[in-house]
Amino acid sequence: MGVWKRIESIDRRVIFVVLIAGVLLPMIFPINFPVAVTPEVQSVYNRMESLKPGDVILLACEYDPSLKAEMEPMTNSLMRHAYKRGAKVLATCLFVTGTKLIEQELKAISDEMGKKYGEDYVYLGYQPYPAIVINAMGQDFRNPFPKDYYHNDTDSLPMMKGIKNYGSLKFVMTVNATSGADYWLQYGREPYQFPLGFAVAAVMATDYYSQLQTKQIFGMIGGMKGAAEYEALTNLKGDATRIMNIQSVVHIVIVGFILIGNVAFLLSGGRLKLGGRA
Amino acid sequence: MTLESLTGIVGVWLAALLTLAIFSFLFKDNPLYKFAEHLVVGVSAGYTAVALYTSSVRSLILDPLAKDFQEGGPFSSLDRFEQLLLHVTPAVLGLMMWARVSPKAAWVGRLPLALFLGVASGLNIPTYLQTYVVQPLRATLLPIVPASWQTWLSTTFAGHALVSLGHVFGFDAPVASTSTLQALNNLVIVGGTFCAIVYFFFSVEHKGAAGKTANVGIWVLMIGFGATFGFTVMSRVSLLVGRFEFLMNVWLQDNLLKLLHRG
Repeated sequence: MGVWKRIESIDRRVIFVVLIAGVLLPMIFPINFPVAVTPEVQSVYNRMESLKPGDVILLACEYDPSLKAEMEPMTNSLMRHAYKRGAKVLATCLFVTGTKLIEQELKAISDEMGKKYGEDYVYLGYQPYPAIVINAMGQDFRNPFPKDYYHNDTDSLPMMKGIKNYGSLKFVMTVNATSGADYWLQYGREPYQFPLGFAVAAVMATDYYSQLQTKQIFGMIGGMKGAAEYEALTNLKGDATRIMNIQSVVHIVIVGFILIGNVAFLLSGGRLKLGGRA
Repeated sequence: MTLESLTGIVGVWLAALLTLAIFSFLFKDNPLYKFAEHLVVGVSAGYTAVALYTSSVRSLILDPLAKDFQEGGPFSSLDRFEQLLLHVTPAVLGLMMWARVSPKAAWVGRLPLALFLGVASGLNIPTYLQTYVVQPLRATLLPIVPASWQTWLSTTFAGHALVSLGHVFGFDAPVASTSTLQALNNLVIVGGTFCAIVYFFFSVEHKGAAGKTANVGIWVLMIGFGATFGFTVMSRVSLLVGRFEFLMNVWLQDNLLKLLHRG
């Protein structure tokens, strides 16, 4: 068996070991890569910058602990930026296994920024059937959420005075790693025509570039790269910037593997027919 | 050591050991991996059941009913009775769904299901068409001729005829100031969309011009799949890095090393 054939049939565990080394080495010896800001992330930043003290935004966070690593930096950056602008945050989590995680994240950032529950932020929590909940919130937040996450009467919270539905908000930003992003577009933005922004898991990002083009969403933060861009814009270098630097090294390793695999395929006698069949 | 810090430490150790159990699948399938996998399913199901009970059954049905009875009961006024109906009707419909477990009473479950399907269709059809068909279609109506060419074209006979035809149909929009680069970008969008749609048009055999257009459509789709693959890799690598950050920084550095130093 030739060298290239042997490379083609390499044990997958060798690839895993190299990938793990690609993660661990930049973690131990940090490298800094430049971050170029894309227009879709800039647009989210500009929208957030336009907030005035007292404005209220809805942050709809829909992800669970399995996606924490990718999504948490986005939630943290957006909340910090909103608070920095003096805005108030109304939050929901329409993904059942994420409700506690989102509560912890909201509390941690709010405590860090010295914000008080009920006055500067409110967490409505979860109700089933996101499509119907999103639609019902367009009439009144109290319809699906007569009580908040902590079982307080929604009306008893000072921040909720004067907040009736989407019309009372400056915009809605969803940090989403579920099909809930589609629900926000279809059952929220479409019937009620409020400004909607996305911060989505990278795996979903390509699906929503068409919605950026149609201006159904005003901006999008896509995955860790988007989160790192947002951190660069806000000058708050945090988790996303650090993880993105490590991730860039892993990307180089993966691109290397793809190149080696293709070269091995071609040099070991493989021929590619037009139409994609070998 | 407080109870809170102790539960924190136990939680970190559990999370770390379960992460390693899941990673062990990379070597080969094993009982540790199976245990961790089943644990995820069980914990998620249990957590979901409790969350559904507290957020829906308790918040939307039990608590309002209890409050109502404490404040004079549902029959004390018409308004109260209306509230009772609002709270009880969904609960009854929900209970009717459970009738499907018995084959004899299964028909009872069809009533709430029919209502649910009707509401879902009514909500879904118009909003879906508007969100995913009409709006994206509108976004492909883009100027593909640069402004300088548009001015020149309007002086030619064909251009003049087109402008006149536009006036007849009420398209009186001024000439769009499209740069050459923007026009080229728009051409890629319009052409790419057209070719990809032709690929999915099976009423005509993919031969000749239709075949060549469909082939371009395949390339457009492949580029789309490539971009999606790239983003998927990025997403999964983020999670991998996140887990290693937890193992290295939270488990090893903050817990294990501190414990060893103390020892």
